[in-house]
Amino acid sequence: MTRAPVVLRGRRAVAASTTGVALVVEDFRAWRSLPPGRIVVARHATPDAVLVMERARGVVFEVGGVAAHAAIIARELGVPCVVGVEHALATIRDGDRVHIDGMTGEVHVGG
Amino acid sequence: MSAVDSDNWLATTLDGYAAGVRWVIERKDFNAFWPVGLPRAGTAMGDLLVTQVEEVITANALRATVANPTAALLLLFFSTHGMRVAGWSRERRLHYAQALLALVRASKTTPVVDPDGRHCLLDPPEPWGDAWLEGFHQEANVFCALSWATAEALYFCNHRIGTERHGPYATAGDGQMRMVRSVHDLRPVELWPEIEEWPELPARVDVVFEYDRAGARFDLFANPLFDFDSHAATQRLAILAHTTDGRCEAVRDLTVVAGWNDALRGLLTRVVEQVDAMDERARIGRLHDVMLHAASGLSERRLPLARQAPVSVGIEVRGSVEQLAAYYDFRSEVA
Repeated sequence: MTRAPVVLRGRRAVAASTTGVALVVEDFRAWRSLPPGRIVVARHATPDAVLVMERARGVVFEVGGVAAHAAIIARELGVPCVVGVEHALATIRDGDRVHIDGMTGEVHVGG
Repeated sequence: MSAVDSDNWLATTLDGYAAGVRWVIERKDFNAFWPVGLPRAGTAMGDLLVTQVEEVITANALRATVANPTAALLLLFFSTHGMRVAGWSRERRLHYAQALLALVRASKTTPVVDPDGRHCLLDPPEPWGDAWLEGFHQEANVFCALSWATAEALYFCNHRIGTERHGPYATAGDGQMRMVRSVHDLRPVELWPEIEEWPELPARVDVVFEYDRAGARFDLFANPLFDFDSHAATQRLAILAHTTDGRCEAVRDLTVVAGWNDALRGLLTRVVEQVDAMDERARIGRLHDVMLHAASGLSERRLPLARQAPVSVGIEVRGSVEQLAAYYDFRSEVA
């Protein structure tokens, strides 16, 4: 059964939008085994998150602001990124279709 | 008006600093800074640290200017805890703050603090004509991201020790600007004796970006904030490698940059693995040495790493924006 779409809100870190398939990441140390081209969803970024972010289609972080380390790195990479998205991990599941709106900071899940 | 602040410079600077601190805390993640699991300042930023840094200041060993003045601001930021623990007098705190703020002031053409403003250093790199690479080049941006993340890993949250971002600088064209990412000191070998393999990198790398639109905002810690797609706006870029003997060479071969990126990925992985293996006490000790390394970079004198610094639990530096901003507001230290 298709889930009803959900809209989460955060702070946009990169002025770019994208749509893709979610990949929930709990441990960035496993970066070598994570599939590229997905929209990464995580709680926060450790320094090695860049190794996943540079292969990602987009990134969503549950904590942090536009000056957060994750946001700074996303801007360098040009990867669409929204931070401070409350309840992201409770809402987004692996394989969900996700749209990052780089203008509004909204994250559209499902639908 | 006090004799130590006859031109009201210090008061004005501290006001700007306080505003910048609040702005950054509202937009950053100080409740979860890396290394994760170390929310306490403790001895890492305690009385022992500020006393050692003060020795350098007292001996007039601070450099006249530095390539990474934001490191001096961060050192002051993190010293607020140590001053309280040490029970310093107002005059002693003032002298410490003035020395660091004066160093920042002397190293920039713009004011000490940059609340949504410019952050221009005294000597921005001036690329030669043949240094420019037209258009956007992904490997250069990947290098900027990887070097930033690696500096963050090596220096924990105080990655300004290894990087500096500055600008915007004027260009010949209207509606354009240049911004620079400077990367230096990504080989702190004495800080990380556990790391056996270090990449061969230039002593310093400047990546100069020229964008097709003007205007940029920097926060207190020189984080650039773009409200446009910076990749799409890149007209051209230059990569300048500085050697230890003072030569500056343009890098036009992006396979060289790709090699740096591979090397940084490896170094980053090794450092993160090392930190993950460290318990809280070891991380506190390492953070203490990171701060001493920062102070050494600002001075003519090398501060010996503590290695076995006494470790105390310290106080938590978590909380709301109001709590954190008040904690790091240096005006309360000199009131």
